[in-house]
Amino acid sequence: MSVVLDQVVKDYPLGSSMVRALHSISLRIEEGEFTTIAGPSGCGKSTLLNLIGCMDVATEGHVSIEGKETGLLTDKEQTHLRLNTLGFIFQSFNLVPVLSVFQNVELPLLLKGGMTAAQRAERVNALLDQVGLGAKAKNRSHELSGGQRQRVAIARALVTLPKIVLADEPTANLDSETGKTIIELMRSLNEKQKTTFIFSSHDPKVIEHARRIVRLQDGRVIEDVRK
Amino acid sequence: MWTFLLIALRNLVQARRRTLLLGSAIAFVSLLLLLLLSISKGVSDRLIEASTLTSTGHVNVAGFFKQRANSATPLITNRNQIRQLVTENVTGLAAVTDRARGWGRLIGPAGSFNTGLNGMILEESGFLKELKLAEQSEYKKDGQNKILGNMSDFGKPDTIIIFAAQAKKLGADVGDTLTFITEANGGQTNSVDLSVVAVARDMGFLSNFSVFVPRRTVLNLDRRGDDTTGAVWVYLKDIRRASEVRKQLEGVLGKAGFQILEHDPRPFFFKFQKIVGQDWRGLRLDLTTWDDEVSFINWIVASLNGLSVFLVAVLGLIIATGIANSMWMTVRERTKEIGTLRAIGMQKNQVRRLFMLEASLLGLAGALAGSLAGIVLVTAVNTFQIPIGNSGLRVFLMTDVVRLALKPQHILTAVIFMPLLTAFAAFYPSQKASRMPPVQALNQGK
Repeated sequence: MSVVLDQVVKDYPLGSSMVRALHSISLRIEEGEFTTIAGPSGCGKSTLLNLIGCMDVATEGHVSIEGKETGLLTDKEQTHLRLNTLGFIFQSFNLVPVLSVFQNVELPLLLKGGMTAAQRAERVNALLDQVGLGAKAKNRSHELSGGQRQRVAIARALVTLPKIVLADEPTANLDSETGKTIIELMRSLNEKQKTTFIFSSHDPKVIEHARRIVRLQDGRVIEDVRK
Repeated sequence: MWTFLLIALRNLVQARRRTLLLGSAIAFVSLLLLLLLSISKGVSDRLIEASTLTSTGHVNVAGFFKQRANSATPLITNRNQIRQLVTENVTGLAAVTDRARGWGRLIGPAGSFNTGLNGMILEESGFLKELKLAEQSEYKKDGQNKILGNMSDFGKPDTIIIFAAQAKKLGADVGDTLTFITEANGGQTNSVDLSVVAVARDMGFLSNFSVFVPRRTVLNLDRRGDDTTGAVWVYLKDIRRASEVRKQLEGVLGKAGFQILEHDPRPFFFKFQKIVGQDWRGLRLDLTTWDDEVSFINWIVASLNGLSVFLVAVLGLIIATGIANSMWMTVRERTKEIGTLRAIGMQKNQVRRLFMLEASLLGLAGALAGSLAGIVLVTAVNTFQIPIGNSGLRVFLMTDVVRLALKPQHILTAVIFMPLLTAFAAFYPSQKASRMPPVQALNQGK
């Protein structure tokens, strides 16, 4: 499962003019990679992740996942791809506040369908145990710390067994110790399940955990290194 | 679905104050809807009850007898044969009776008016058992709060029962003698003196058009034979079959050799002019149902229904605006959540469904609360028999105490209508929410 970006350009309107957020980015991310998109705020990290995640459309160029060009997919097909192939982790966790931890993690499975309640419960509980939140299944998100919430978000992102997990600044709202734990958790899941992880960060302590670092500056790739 | 329901429910609980305010408004409109429906149904029931007691059977075999071209008498011959044909051929029959009919002027000590004369067969008249007598104070200034007269005296020759409003107009009391004058077929005037044996409580409009005398009095007044009558009244176990039975009887009586008039859904007294102008002689039967006979006052139920629809439509519009506004606020507050749900794979139609479900649940909860309040209120109103002070309103509503008839189908109407209304109101904001691009929703919600 590879992600291919070919000469991708993204422009945003700003008043009456257009601002170029990404300049002709070409990138190939292979299956099972643990890649960080690094760079300072405003360099285009989130824009790049949004394009890979079918949440936005490139102005020019092509984004392909599994050989499918995402810009040619309908909204329904893109949503289907997000549900079945991609997992998302957000900077602000973005849990549904009115649902419990268990229900938040179960939600993508319900959207996907095709599983019995018992099968869903087994999958969700296993993942919650894996992220160390088995005992918090019944809690609501406001009863959890930031680190715990992000672990719920990781469990939610992984519950459909996606091929690719996209994480936009997953540690930005966490203290450094918790951030390190979250990155280690992601890395261990990457190693065990061979899930491709692409995460953005501006924090050097987080970036150093990645096996591949794609560094952006002003919307351009200035460095692409594998450790 | 359960998770959608849970999200919707919990979001409603979360926005407690807004839910309570909107829910109360929906409950109030539901309550109003139920009250209006139960008033309308109460009046409609009362109309059926009053009309089938005083003026009509469920199906009527009446007719006109024309001795010469420009005359018509509301009279049928072969009464016994017709009654026998009805009894033998109609299934689901509850009772059969007949009433002799007359038309003329009733004169009392202080006034007079034109009225129909109902010649009653005492032993077949359940009507008399149902009739409630009025206290003297209801029709006489400075009268006693006491019922005078006795229903058992009715049936003695040349007695009469009148209604309270008529007694007031005539200045008559129990024991007084009234004179009834009618014009016979030959153009001569016949009259009879009638002794008032009882004054009944008014039954709305219908009590303006009828007085009751023994059948023999009508026959004697017009010197009619015993095998004549005004109309044979057929009561069915199921009133809804009235139209079907009328058609059946048209066939049966036609086959038996009777001439049948084309169905005209109006009471007999509206047909006089038409029949007088027709060029035929002898007897023609005119078959009607109860609603044909009261069609001239159907406007009461129709206007009540119209008023109900208007009020509910206006209030519904206000509620719909409130719901739509509230949903806009919800969508704005939950933009980030919408973005997240879209990002993790929720389709547009599922987002729309989620928001509409939330609105429908609010509508359902409001409708249930309103229905509960409606049941309590209607039960209380009917239990306490609240009198209607205004005489005009008494006539209009055909009752002297407030009578409400709340049926399960009314509650079902509210419980179905309100969630549909709220879902409809929430459609556009929900549609907008679902069409928001995920990245835009996530960025706006930051």
